[in-house]
Amino acid sequence: MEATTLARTPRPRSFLDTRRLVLFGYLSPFFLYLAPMSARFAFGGVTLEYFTSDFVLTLGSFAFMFTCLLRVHHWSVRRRHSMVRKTAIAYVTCILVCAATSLARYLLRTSFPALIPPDPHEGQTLSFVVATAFSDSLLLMAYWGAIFLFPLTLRRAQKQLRQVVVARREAEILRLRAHLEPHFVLNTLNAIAGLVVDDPVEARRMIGLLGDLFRDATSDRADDMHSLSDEVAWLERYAAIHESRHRRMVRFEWEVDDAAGATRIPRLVLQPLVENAVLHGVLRRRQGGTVKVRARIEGRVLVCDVEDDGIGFPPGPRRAGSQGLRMVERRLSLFSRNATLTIASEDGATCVSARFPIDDVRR
Amino acid sequence: MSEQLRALVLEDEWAARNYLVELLEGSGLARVVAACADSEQALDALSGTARRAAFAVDVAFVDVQLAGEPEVDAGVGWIRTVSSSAISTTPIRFVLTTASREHALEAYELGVSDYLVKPFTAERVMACLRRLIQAAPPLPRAPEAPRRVVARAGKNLVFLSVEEVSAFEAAEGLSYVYVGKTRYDVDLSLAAIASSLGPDFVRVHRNWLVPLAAVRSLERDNGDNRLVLADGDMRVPVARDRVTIVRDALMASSVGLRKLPG
Repeated sequence: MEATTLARTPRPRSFLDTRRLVLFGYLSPFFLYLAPMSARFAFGGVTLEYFTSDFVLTLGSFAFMFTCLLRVHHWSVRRRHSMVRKTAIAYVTCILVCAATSLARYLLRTSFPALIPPDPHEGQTLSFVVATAFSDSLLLMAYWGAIFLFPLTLRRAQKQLRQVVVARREAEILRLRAHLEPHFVLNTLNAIAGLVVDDPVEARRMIGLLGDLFRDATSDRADDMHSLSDEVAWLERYAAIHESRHRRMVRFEWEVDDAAGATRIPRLVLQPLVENAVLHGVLRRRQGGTVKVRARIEGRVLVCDVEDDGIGFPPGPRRAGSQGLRMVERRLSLFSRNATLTIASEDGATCVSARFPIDDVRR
Repeated sequence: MSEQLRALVLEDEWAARNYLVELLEGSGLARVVAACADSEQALDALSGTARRAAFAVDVAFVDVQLAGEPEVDAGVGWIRTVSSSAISTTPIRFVLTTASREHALEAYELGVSDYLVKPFTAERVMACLRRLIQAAPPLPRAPEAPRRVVARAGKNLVFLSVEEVSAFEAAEGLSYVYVGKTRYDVDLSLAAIASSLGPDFVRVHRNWLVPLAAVRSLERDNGDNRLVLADGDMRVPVARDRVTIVRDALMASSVGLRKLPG
């Protein structure tokens, strides 16, 4: 099985790009230090010897501290820590690196007093070093926050806002499209008109099914979530209409675990998957085929598969209907950072799996 | 009466196909010579096979989306194939049947004459046929060969003359035609077949359409009515509410038995 995860759609680069922030973080202390110190040096406050050693020492230890913070930050990002946790970890790091650098300075100064002249303003006891480590850590944390954490948070907030706007619009489109997709409704009405003479019982059943789908369309619910069993009930009606219209071409099989039924998922998030399986899967094969809808709980993850034995998913450029897939993917990513959509295709069969981590359910 | 258009219907959905055949036949302006479920059958009907001549068709009603074809808009592809080759023995016009007009531009370039939007209505079909006739009235022609029924035996098309048919049956959404004891599949509902074959065929039961000419006798057995057909070994049930209609139709087309007054 060749499995692919859909590539994320590229987003425009933010002004607050991470690489830019890092560069700025490394360079700004250089100027911050150089400006006052060169003034002091120019007016004879300090010797050249002292100035050089202090310059190298200060910027060196700063580079070390900033690198440590970056490393820890990336580790934090990888572990998907929350913002509060990230901040707390950064602060602990600040204390540790400040203590380390202060201690290093102290040791260097006491070991090589000739090379590194003692700072007249700096106490020379170990307890003083420890105390300054704590006060320095506050300054460092403030710097880290201003240079790095704050812009990142800002950027993330912007991104989220953008996503929410996009998703809200798409949810609206999807709601209209899924329930009232004109092509589907008009073809179904036409089929009903044809059935009235030959099979009035079936015609009535179809009117009932279409009416139920319509009721959901007109229900003015603000809530974008419902239970998987509601989702499946809706899909079963949708499927029954397809089965009736394409007799012997389209068949559905359902395997929904009872345990999965109560899980809450975004409304009709699976509809485009079923539509694709019918329209671009089984209906494209001469003898038709079967769409299998499966839902189960694996550990703490709800897994929903929509599988068809149609003509497969061509590699390379996405087949028609991929717009629907992209929309599902975006809704999933809003549902949870850890939700995924994967497509596995082997000649003839296509299986699209949506995975919802249960613990991340948005309420 | 003016000359009728000879129509071919290419529509994958069973219900929609029957509906369009009924509407076309009901208009009185057209006769359906072939109703096909896929493009291959439709090409066969137009081009003719080794065993029979081609159907002469004036206008083809083609659904844009055809199930069972690799392309979603296979109907448009079919029109392209037919119009760019000399498959049809007669000049043929095309009408697209579709729920939306999204293929309008492409279709215009292909020279499609008209659109029929779904859901169909009798008025819409009538108006469409009038436009077609006004644009190019069908030429008067020599009397046609007897009508035939297109059936399927597996993947092969079979063409039966109307006279050899002993009955049509509907069962679980499928239709069959009987020639003696042999049964073939038909891709139309009984109502669509009845509208196409006219009053010589009577719907004696929800599931049975029978040519009056094939009826040998009307049997009564424990209050159930049955028709004995042609060679005598095929019996067809008559619905209780249709017994009178069936008997009247049989009487009207027979001599020798007079209905007694009272």
